[in-house]
Amino acid sequence: MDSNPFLNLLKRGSNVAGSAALVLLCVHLYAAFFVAPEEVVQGAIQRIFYVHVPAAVNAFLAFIVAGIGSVAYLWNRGRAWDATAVASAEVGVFWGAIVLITGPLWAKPVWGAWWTWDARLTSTLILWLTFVAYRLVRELAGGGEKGARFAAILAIVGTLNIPFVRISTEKFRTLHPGNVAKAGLDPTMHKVLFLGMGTFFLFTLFLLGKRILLEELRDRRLAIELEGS
Amino acid sequence: METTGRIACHVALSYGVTVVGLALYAWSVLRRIRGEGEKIDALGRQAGTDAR
Repeated sequence: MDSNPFLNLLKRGSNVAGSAALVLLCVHLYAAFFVAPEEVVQGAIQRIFYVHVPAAVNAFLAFIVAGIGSVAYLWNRGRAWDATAVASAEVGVFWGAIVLITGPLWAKPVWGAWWTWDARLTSTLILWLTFVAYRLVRELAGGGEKGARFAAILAIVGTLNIPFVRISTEKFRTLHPGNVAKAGLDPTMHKVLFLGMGTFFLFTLFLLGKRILLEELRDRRLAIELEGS
Repeated sequence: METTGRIACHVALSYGVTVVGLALYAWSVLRRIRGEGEKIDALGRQAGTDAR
């Protein structure tokens, strides 16, 4: 696989990122339960926010990287870009699953319903399903270049949905809370939220680095198998 | 509004799913890396045997 300095740094640094993420996860869990004050209206259920929002931010980041990787792959057919897109899409699907599980767990006591088909929830589900389909297309195509091209187009379409997901709470009537930056959060809540985002971002770097390494190993094995046959 | 116990259960489930999910996903990626490494080693050994 053709590689670049950023990918090499990511692979080498993934263990450091993983170790730091583990330590920060302990700090984050402590802060979310014992440092962040209890929200006056929602009470304890609001603490789900400290995993739900960081997971959502990291899902978006991973999907954006998958989209950029896919554009670059379609542009120059570089396998390193394709591997980055595959790895990042999978990490995004993981974080997206966390978002789609923790969201309803928060919603049931607050809204009285696990799910509503409003703009934010529906567009997030579509985004997640697009990247699940990305994975399925690649599996069904058997790793060929044609499948990689179709999947890349799917990833780009999925990434174009992200701005819509972002503005959906502002442009449509929705039950989902709006932008947290404009919500006037307590400063301690903000700090715990950013700690969560940083912790999950380090996990994203760790998973991305390892997942790209896995793609490289697969390529190496396929090359050896081809040589032998 | 739901009972305190049920709310605690929802919060615990959210954090539990996140932490356990992270651990399981990381483990699955590392396991797949080890699997590929073992396959490459086996192919290398096979190539050595064939050469002899």
